[in-house]
Amino acid sequence: MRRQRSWVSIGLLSMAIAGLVHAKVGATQATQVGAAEVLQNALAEYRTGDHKNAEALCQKVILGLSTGAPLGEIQLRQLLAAYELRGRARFILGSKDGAREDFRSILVRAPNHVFGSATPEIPGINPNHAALFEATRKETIGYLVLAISPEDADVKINEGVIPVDQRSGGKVIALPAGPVQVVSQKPGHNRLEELVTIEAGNTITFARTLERVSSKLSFVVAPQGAEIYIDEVARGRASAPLPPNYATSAEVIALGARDPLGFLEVDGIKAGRLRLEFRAPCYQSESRSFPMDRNGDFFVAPVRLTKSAAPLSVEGAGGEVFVDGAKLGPVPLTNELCPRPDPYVVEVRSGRGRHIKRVTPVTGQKISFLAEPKPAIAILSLTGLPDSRSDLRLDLETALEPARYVTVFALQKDVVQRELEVEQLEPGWLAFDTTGRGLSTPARTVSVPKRLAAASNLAQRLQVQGIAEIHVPGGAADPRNVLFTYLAAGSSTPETMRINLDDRDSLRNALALLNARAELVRVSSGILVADVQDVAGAVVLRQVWKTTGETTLSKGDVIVAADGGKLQDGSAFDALIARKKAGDKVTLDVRRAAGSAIQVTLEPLNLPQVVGYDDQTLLVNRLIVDFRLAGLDAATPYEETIARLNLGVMLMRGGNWTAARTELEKVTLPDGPGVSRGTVKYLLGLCHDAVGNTADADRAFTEAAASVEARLTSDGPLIKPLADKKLNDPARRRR
Amino acid sequence: MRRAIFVATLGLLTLVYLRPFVSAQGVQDSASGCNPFTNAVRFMDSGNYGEALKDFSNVVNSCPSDNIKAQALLKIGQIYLAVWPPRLNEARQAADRVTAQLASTPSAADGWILKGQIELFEGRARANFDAALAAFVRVNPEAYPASTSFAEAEYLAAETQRLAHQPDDAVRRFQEVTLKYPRTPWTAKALLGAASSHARLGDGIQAMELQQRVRREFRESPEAALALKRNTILHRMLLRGSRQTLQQLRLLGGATVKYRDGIGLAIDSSGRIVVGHKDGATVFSAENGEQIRAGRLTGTSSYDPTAVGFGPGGVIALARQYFFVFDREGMAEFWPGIPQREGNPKQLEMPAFVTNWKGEWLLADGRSDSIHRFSQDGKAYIGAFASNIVAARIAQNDIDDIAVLNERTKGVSVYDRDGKFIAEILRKGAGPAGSYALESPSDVAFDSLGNVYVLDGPRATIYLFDPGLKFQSALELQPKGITALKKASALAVDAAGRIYVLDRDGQQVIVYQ
Repeated sequence: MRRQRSWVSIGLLSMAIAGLVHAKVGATQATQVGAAEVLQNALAEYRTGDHKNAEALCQKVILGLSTGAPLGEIQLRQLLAAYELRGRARFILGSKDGAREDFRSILVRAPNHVFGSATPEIPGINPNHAALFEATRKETIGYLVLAISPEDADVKINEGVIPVDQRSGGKVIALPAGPVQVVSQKPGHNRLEELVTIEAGNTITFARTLERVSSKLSFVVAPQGAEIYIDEVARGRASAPLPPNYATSAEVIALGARDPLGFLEVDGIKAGRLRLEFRAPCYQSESRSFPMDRNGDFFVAPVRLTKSAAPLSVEGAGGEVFVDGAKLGPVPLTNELCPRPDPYVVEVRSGRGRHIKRVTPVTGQKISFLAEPKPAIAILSLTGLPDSRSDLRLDLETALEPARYVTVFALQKDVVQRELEVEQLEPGWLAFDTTGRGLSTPARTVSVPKRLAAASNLAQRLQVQGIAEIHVPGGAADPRNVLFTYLAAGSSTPETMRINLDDRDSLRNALALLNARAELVRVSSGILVADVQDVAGAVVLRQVWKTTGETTLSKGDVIVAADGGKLQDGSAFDALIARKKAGDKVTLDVRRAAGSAIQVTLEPLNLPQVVGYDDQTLLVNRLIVDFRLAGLDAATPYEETIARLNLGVMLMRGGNWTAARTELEKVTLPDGPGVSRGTVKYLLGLCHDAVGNTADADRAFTEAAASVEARLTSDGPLIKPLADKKLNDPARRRR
Repeated sequence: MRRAIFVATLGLLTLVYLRPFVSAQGVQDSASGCNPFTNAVRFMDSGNYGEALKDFSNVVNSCPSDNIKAQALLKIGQIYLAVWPPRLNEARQAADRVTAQLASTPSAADGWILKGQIELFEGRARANFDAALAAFVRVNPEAYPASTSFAEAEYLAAETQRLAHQPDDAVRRFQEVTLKYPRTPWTAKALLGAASSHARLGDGIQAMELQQRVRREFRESPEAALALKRNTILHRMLLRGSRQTLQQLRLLGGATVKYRDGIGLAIDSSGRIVVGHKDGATVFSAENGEQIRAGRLTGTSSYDPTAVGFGPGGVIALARQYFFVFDREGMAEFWPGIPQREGNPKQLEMPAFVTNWKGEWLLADGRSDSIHRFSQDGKAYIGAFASNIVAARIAQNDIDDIAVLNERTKGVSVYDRDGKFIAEILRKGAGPAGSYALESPSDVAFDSLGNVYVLDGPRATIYLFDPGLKFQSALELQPKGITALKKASALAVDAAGRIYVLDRDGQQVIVYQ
């Protein structure tokens, strides 16, 4: 029993809580939805003659909507209907005063209310009711007749609560009796603000004229967007479309319709002798005098500015043209540049790199160039540049412009700033001297992996092949002596060149270093020969490749003539072959060691070349860039393979073992003498070894050791002993 | 007179190891106190070491730049190595100051190079080579990133191993130079060093390949010219066949010059060839065959010299029981003798002599059937170099091996620089070129690659052995060409592989190629 009682209690309590919650949530909705329903019930009661009940229901609606909160249109309509219905009910129930009160409530909210319009569901209008309503109107409402000049002045009554529009029949305004605030204003006129007392049943005329205090000028300018200055103060751009009434103006029509016209109205201009100026980029500015002896609205004679630009023409094999970092379109491209004091940066960007020109256009003078994008190295420098005669970054860019295979350019400072922030790097992170010693705290503290990642990220985002910084170790005392440190994408080991911008030899040396190229293939006779003092001809030491058909030359044979020409020595023979192409045919007269004379036909061949992994004299970063480009430019898959092989070696030197391994794994060379399969395997072994992958390294070294004729470079040591040494090195296993 | 024998001149010791002098333009510090550097370099280049030392010392004392100070100290060290005899302690002090007190300068690494050089001047014992090697390998990018001398140091380390009779290690290290620094002046030297080591290891073809690389990649260098000469030598030995006839090229000094009772020939590493004869000695340039000077024995009609050669500092010497030496100041004489417990030193009867790397005399003595060592000034007897050998002729190669023509066995014995017997060319034997038999060998010589040439006078034939003493070729001397060869009695081989044969009876020196 006790349990049953508890459950009942809980049930009742829950219902009560649910009811409360429902009541709260539904409060707002009830005022709307509920009011309509109650109002319908009230109307039904009224129609059935139960005026008492109708009055009570209306009372409910009125109370529900009279919360003090602003009412929406529907709510206002419901409230007016409730008052009207209750007034009518009260009248029938004998309470005229009550009815009058309800009618007043309607009129203060809607002075122009037409009796019966709120309750159209009630057929017919009781004339007595209507008479009472109109009598109440007389007691409650007065009329304000507005006569404010100019007619289009903006008028607000009671801060806009009562809408006013003089120009659309709003001149006579019904208002509840009492004071109202009238504010009228118009640009170029003084402001009017007055209190007017409305008397019930009376009409008050409010006639005022706003005084003109400034002028409005209307401009029509070509081109659209031209900026307008009045007395050297910018007043805006003529960017708006031309209003129809202006479009038909004879003066506007006289301008012609070549360019879109822009329109601008400027208010608040005091009378006087005005100086007007019209400016637009790529157009010649124009100014004129505009005398204005009184205030008013003026239409300034339309202006067409004269075009002022330098034609730009970019030719080339491909790429996109950018001007000041904004893309214009693909090459070939014709456009124009507007004259300005600062030079434009015109760039052609392609997968090969960039071609950059800084140009200062002169009106009418054509700017044209043939774009030949080269791998690009962006100078990301903000610091280390002492106050000097000029921007050293731009000076260096100019000085290195003749570099044949690389574009060194200065990046805009804001871009540099942004990029360094993205990579969380501080300026000076690439401040190294020529020995690789860090010159700044950031340079010394940035880790190798971070440098590697930053170089790749920056290069990718900036669409360049390398990045650089410049520094001036001598400071202001020696501002032209620059350290140029650069880092290729994929490298962690920066390289630094010292360049004296005022020293021709220094610049020549720098360019020579940048212009040096490693050959990927070398045409070869396949025969090793020697110079010997008392022998006329090339003395054969060894025939390495089968280039002479069925006949193989032996040590001691002497090649006395080639293509009928006598040979002085081995060097002459090598020089002759160097001028040939692979597959050419060369007839050799040979005196064999045994004394006989034979003639053989030699077909030179291309032998792959690979840069020395250990070569300390190479510019590793430049070669990384170079070999990447060589891979892109390769005419044959073979050339691409050799470019990849060399790129792999240079990435090894750049400390990027993973990328190096990726490149080398794609290289397939046949087994044989010189740079061949064994070379690739050995290099792969070194990559595996460097990342601690001993098992893969052993496999690679074992394969390398099987290539008995392979060499590290074309003239370098044999691979086999090197690979054997690695395989037998106990220190490797300990690592 | 005797004092004049050992005047300070650049000797053999300085040929390989002295660093090229930094030019005056290399130092661009006009700070007061540093200015004398430029002058000092000029003095040094002109051989005025005294003035150079003064100016360099002034720089060390007053120049504010540590790096220029270090360079001056290095120059001082080099001068002390260049004088004769070298002043090793002073050189070492200079090097120590650079490596210890000026260790942070870019030139500090060069202090270690100087130290390595000093070690090689100090001696040719294992410890010296080890110490030199240790000094050279201190010069590395990790220790001295600002240095520009890595290629040079690596080359010198390799050369040290070559001198230490470690051709395998030397080849590997020379290869390091060529791989790490393939386009420096040291690369050409390293390629030649590697070639020389390959030749010594018996792989002459590999040596020629490397030498040809020098020809190809360093075309205008002095090393390219040397490579051509060495190619020529190896070609003759390996590729021309086991029997060849050498053609007469010219007569040394011309057809009219006669050498009365010629006694021998000697050639030094600077390319001077000396002909010894009863009237004195005549010196020619091997490069162009022109006579450089002549030393005439005056007032010594009874003196009948038996040996000729070069002494310490490049002086020309004629010997029998005692020496006549010709230097810049004229003729001098000195008498080496083996000290006895009692009485006067025992005189020698000298059919041959050489001076070793240190400037010491190695004198063959027909009376004691030994080779004796004497100090550079000839005054101090150091001891026997080799015993029980009747030495008729002595030759020495670039790594200080000594070949002795043994009159008793008619063979050639080869010793190392310390007198340790290495190997022997027997009177009869066989090699890759077949068999040979020496009838009456009359002289022995080395070429610049360490190949051994044995002249068999009666047969007018030179037997050619590689550095491993394997018989490679028999070179018959053209009996009639420019002149008729009568009796070949002595020979010498120059850097280009040209062979000089003294025809005692014909009183001429015939140049063969």
